[in-house]
Amino acid sequence: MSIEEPAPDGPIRTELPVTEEIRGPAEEARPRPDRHAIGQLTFGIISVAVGVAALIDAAGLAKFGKSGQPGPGLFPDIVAALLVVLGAWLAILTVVRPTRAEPVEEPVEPGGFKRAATVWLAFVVSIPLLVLFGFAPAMAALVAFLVFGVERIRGFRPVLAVVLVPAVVYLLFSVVLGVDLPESVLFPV
Amino acid sequence: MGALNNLIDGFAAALTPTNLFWVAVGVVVGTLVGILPGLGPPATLAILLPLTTSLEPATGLILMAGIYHGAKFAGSTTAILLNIPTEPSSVVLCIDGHELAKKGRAGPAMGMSAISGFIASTVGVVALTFAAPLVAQLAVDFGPPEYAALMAFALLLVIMMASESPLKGFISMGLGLLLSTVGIDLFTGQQRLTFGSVTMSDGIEFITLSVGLFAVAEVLINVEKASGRPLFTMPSKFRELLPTRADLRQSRGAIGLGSVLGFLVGALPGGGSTVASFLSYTLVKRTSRTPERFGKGAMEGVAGPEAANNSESGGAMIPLLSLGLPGTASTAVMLAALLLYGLQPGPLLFTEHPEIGWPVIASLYIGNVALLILNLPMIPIWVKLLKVPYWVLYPAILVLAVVGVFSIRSSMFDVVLLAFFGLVGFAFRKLGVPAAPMLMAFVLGPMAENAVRQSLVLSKNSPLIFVQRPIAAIILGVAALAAITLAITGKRRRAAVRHPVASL
Repeated sequence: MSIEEPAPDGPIRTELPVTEEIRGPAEEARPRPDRHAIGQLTFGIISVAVGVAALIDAAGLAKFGKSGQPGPGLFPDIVAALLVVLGAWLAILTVVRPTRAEPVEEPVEPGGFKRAATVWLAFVVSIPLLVLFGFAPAMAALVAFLVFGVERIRGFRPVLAVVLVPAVVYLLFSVVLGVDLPESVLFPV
Repeated sequence: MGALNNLIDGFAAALTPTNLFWVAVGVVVGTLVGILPGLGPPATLAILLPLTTSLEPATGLILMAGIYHGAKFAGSTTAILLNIPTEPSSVVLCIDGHELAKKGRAGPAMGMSAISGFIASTVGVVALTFAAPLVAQLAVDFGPPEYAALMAFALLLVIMMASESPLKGFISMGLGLLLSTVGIDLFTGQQRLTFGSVTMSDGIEFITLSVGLFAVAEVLINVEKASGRPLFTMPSKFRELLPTRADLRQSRGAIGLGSVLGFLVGALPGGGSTVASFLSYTLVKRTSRTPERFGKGAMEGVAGPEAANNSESGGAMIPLLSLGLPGTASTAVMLAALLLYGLQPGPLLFTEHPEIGWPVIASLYIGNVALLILNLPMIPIWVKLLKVPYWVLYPAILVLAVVGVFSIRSSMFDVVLLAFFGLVGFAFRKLGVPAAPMLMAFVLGPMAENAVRQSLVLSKNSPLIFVQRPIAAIILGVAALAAITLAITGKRRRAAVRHPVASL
């Protein structure tokens, strides 16, 4: 069971929101790291890093013009500094008061994260395919991988989906509406 | 009475069988085209502009009104059903609209979108008819300092939006502001936060950010949760596809607030429906007795922003028709149409071409009536989209997301950013970081920065300009009051949670 206490901004969880049905007996006995707190800490640190990177990049920009008016670097500097402070604050709060204001996450199926990661990676891989082979083949490959590889659907309907989804979208956008879609660099039309 | 008589004449001129036929065509075509990601009302109007130029001016403009309303409704349809915001102003609908769809209330949400839009459009047209001179004066008086004050107020509301987790909301807003500065500085032409990349110098497109944060992230979240169970609950009875009386009663205040706010914001050049819908959502949430329902499927979370989004179109016509200034992208296309017909929008339009000016106003209303008549019966058909198995729906959503993002400026880099923002949106959802403040700040950031910089140039760098001008001072005063209220209510809420018994 997760330990819940009243908190200023909502219910608190001190461990992963894994349901009893999903968690196995071995996991029950073993103390688990608070992944949410780690995630929150990482988010705080990333916010600080983004702020610092922005400050470094904007360092060469003038903060004020010749007559004292705000320059192009002023606004990014203010926002980046704000981000550094807020990110650091979140990270410190997470370390000092780890149970504060954590959201209740919806339960996920076992292997759910892996599935989501696979879908995202497939989407990323489809981007170079778009460049190499153009819209319809790349999107057909993406849909085919998702339907057959991730969802493991078999039969005639998935084949229909693989053919129809990219084809209908291509016809509607490119042919009917004349919208530009990614074209193949290998096989230019 | 003169304005009322003119409006009646406008309706008489607009309500011909030919015009009614074309407005119906406009609504249907606008809905079909506008449902595609990336094609919001301005893009839909621009694509279909050639269709209108072959018609009589009044008929052509009425057709455009139909297309405009159809495209607006389509934006809310994809936001509610698929969590895909096809245009900036429909982003806010994803927050509660899609949650309602998940609970099997997609039909009522879409119905509420159409009904609140209809009521708000009525308010907008009436206000446009009778209050146009007054509001036009307000629009003229609204200079950079007033905009800066308004943007400060709006950014404060953004923080209010993240009331469940103010610190994370603040960070989300900071990230949005920072992303909004990427690209070329309008004042000096210098590159900012591009890290030396040429592709980054064009900045980041709103659609790329919003579709990534909402649509792609939603797909990843759903795929992670997928367990063979259907993701959406489908209503079994036709009656369940429309809003109930309780829904309408509950949303009355939100519709009223959204209508007034949308009209006023729309009348300001550059205000636009995005700002109107976000402000409306935040104010409706903050004034609600049960703000905790928002974000989990509150009907007012659909009614308020949609009302603002639709009454904005009435307000946006004021600077266009009375000053000849297009305040939004959609009115810019309408301006182009008027110019194509050889008409010069401005103060003389209503005196020199009353046969065009008043029917245009009437057509806005007719377009909305046509939308209601044609699209309410279509809701059950749209909702059936959710019956499509999710293993077909989510690959299709990803394909449409690629099309929507690529079609904006034919950039593969935008597709890369789409994947990146999809991952960011997924991480945000897992960590309980609200994405809406990021998007809102992304929209408001450039407006706020430009307004502040222009104001300081005008005042020779004296910040007193923000309190010396009455409208700006009033807005800043209201913002200060809101900030104090926020601080006090936040403190009380925290105290109530710490000592629940004592607070009873």
